[in-house]
Amino acid sequence: MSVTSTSTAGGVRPMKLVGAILLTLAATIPWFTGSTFHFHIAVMVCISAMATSGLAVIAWVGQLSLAHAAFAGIGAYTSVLLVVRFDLPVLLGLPAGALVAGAVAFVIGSPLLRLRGVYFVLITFALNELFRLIMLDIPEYSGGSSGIAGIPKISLFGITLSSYQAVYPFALVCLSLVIGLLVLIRRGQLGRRFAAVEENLDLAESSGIPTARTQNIAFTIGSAIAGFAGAFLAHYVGFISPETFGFQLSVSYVIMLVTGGRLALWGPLVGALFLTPLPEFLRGAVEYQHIIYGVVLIAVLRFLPQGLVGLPAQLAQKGGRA
Amino acid sequence: MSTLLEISGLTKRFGGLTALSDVSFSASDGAITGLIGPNGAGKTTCFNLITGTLPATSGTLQFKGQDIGGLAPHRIVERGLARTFQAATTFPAATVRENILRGALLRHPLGLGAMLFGGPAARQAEQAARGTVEEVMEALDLTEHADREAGTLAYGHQKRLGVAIGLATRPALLLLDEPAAGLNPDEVDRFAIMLKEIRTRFNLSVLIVEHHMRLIMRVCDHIVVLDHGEKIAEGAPEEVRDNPKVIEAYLGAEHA
Repeated sequence: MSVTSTSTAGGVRPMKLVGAILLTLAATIPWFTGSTFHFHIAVMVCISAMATSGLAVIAWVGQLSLAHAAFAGIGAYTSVLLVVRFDLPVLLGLPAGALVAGAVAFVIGSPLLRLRGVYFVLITFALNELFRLIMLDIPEYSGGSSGIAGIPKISLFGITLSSYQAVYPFALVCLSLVIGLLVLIRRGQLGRRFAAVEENLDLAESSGIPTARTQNIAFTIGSAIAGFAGAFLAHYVGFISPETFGFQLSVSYVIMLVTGGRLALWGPLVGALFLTPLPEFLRGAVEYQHIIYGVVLIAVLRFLPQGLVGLPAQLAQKGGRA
Repeated sequence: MSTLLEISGLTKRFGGLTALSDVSFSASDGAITGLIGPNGAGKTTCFNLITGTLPATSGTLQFKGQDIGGLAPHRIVERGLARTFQAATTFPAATVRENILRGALLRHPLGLGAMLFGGPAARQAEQAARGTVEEVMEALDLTEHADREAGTLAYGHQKRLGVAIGLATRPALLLLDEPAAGLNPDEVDRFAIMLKEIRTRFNLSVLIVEHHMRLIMRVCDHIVVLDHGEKIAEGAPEEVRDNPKVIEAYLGAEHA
């Protein structure tokens, strides 16, 4: 019943089990060490993984968005403004952020997605800059270049998740929901359409698949997820400014996606898991983060075209040949 | 035989270049119609106009008595007019079965909710579409390759898979763009037999663009000849073969 567009070599099933166990273990690391710093990194991994999952949905229809940070920003500002100015509970602010980001993507998606390949990449790059400049231009809403500080923390039914330890389980739940959504897409007929559009757009159109609409659906869902992740980030960190959601954040998401595996279901999570802690652990090297990311990207593109997720299959293939 | 596809006054200009000039012809219900002509005659342009891939500069396209000019390609497929591509065109990373299924699902449409969340409607649609897939695979002799990835198939099989995907959308008229190009003589003969079989079995009409004269003469009921974007002849295979204008277009004036 289920179909995946990526091919996997035989005998990967036990690998999947091992992968699931490893991921579960990785998720529990902070509780073992008890370190606040580890809890913080774990939450950041969850947020990055959510945002990158959104980018993955867009990649599944063969488009690469460099405006992903802008949509995270739209979600963040939506939620923050609703919570700060209209006293909306944060728990409603998060989905509102997703909704507004998705709505914006839906409206601008149909003209934008006519562009393909590098042209779409370029227009979304421009869009991200446009978002930053617009936000800098309306300081009464965005706080201008000094941003908005003291954003209320996430609270669930009256309990404020003020500590890192308290936020982490909620972040895990949110991430599970996002990945659950990805699994649903992948397993259902929508995922089949996505794969068809990604593999061969002209043939998909000639097979009766409305490719423009399909791409717009993916763009909307992916950007909504970015909006959700952005809102989460805002309430977790407590501070946002237009610079938070600059072009560099978009690039970071792209690198996480490509490193993890562009078309793989678990690619976003693996990419975020690998790349989010990397600069944090190389303290004192934080300013070199983008250099590190660049090197990782080149290495992955050269040696692991299917990303880290494709590594077991690639090793199995090599082993089989030898 | 009644008219299935009616093309009148079809013209396409690319800037100053007129690729197709005032071309009119029709494809009859149940027939195999051939569209031939030397390289650059405008055959593929004509195809792209019919399938909605390119907008026509002027002229009308009527399918089953309804105007289809200006419709998006996927809408035209929905109306029952499917196409194949000149080069072998498949979904390379998917299995043969999955390739055909993607076409077959057109006849089992679902709402966005069912597409995302599944449920009985989605399961039923997929099951019904899988029935079509098995039938199409058997008719095109692809069953033994059902679980192979399309990208790993031999060229001839990939071309046949292209026809299978089009056929799975259950068209009334199937447009084949050079189905014999790149096939060896044996494969061409097999393809001719197969084409006649699927026509009867799926109650199909066919419009075929082809360079391969032996195939065209063998399978077509009616032939339209284009040269330099204009229709120069039309008729039964024997008539067209003996038409001096056609011989001139293909071989030059001294042979006519």
